[in-house]
Amino acid sequence: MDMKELKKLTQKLRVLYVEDEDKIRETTVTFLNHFFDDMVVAADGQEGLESFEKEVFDLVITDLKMPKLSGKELITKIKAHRPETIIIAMSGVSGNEGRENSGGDFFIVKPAHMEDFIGVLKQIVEQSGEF
Amino acid sequence: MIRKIIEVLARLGFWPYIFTFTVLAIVLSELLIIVQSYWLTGGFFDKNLLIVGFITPGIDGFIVFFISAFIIRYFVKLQNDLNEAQALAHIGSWRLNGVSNALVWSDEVYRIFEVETRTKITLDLFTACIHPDDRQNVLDAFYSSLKNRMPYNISHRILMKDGRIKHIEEQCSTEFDADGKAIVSIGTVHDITEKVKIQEELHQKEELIIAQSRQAAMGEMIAMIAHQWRQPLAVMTMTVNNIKINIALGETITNEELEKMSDDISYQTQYLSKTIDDFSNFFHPNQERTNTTLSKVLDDTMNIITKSLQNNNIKVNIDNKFNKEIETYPNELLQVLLNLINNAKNVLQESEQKDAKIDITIKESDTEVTICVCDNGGGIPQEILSRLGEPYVSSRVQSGTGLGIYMSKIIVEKHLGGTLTWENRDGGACFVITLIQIDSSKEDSKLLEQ
Repeated sequence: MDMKELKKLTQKLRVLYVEDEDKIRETTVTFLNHFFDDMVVAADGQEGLESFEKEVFDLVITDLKMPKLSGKELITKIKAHRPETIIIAMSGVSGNEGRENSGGDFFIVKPAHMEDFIGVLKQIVEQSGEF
Repeated sequence: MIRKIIEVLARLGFWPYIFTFTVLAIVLSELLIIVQSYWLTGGFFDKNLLIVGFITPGIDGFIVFFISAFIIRYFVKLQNDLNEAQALAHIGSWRLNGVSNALVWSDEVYRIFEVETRTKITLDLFTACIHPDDRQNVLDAFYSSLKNRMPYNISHRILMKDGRIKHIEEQCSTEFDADGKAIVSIGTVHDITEKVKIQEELHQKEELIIAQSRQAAMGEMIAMIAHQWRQPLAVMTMTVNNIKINIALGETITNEELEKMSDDISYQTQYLSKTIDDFSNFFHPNQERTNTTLSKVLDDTMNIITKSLQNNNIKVNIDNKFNKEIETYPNELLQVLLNLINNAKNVLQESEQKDAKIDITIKESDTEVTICVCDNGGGIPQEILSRLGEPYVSSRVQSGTGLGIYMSKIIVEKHLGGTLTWENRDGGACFVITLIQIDSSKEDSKLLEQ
């Protein structure tokens, strides 16, 4: 599957992206806009939860370390309400610790390289054949 | 010789000693009578006088010598007690006659110097025992004490015949006559070899602990660098991703977009190199005391640690209305502040406190400046409170090495000449650094007021 095919499959996903660091959020949104047409962006865990309560998302991409409500707490709440939501957790904590404790379906270590994103997106598309 | 006989007798015990001494006294007194009667009779023995002499002066002599035997024995006993006390305390004594230059040592001095007892002692022999490197200092100190009529007090090394070194502490005072000439000097020699050895061992142990704590501090510092670098690295990587994805999707990037991306990367690299400067300044210890303000040192500290606190959702409130100069070692103070703030951060992380915060307050008075670092992480456990500051004692169950506060206390108290204290207050721990305020700023402020 090449990049253009992948883009076609991911474009229709409804995505919520949560990140508290302004500069990281800004550059990541530019990147994610290539893959998703319908994306809601939140600046911390609390804001992310409020957005989640208003709409239905197929995919949530969230940072783990955030003020007010941490990514881990957000993931727990999302999974309790709509367990079918696919979650990508992102964090600077590398190794198994961050991966296993996050509660998300996928984990990307920051700084995230393009290949990491593409790899995870391909897995998501392949697993959920209906998209 | 006579002294030797008295010592041997004294060792035999009380009654044999008194008996022998009295018999000797009687024999001696009777011999005296014989000599007396010979002298009185002009060379001929008067039989009657001899008989009378044997009976009467003999009894007198007996009484006189019996009493003197007790007195001598008493002095011998005192001398023995003094010798034993000196041996126990490892303190010997000496006496130098200022006129004849005759030097007398007590038994303990012979033992300390490992010179055979009763060897005739001269100043030259004593000088030869002093460690060559200390010789001149010792003589200078002694002669200057004579010249200035001041007591003499010096610690120096002595060199044994087999090459061993002993450490001794000498004290002496001298009596002078009306013309200011030294009559007699009396001094003590204290063998402090064991004490010095223990001090050296302690010093080595302290050095080891300091080295360990420095290593621990480096580890923490690297963790702080990681926090500082995480964000700029993430931003730079994502900017590169944005260029790459455009290429991969065959989409065009405008010059404006490229320029913005380049500026972003350039800004982040500048930030990274500033971080390196902050940290390398810290690692470079400055040797000289510098005039600075607590605010400046606190700013430098916050530059290093703010990111790590932000990443852990810890709020910092700084209350500082003062800006007076102090003379101190800024990097050492920074190290202590960094350690206290980092400790607070670790405690807050472990306690999983929801509204985690650190309050930093700078206060000043005419004589001192204080900086308090308080957290709301539950405080120091009561059983640790009094022992904190000893090496390897930590209030943190999971991750403390028990060296940070110990090291900070050494720096503040030994290098910066201040105090570091702590207490539990308002649901957390408070650490207070107090430093002495220099007077020049007081003068400046007086001038300003005028």
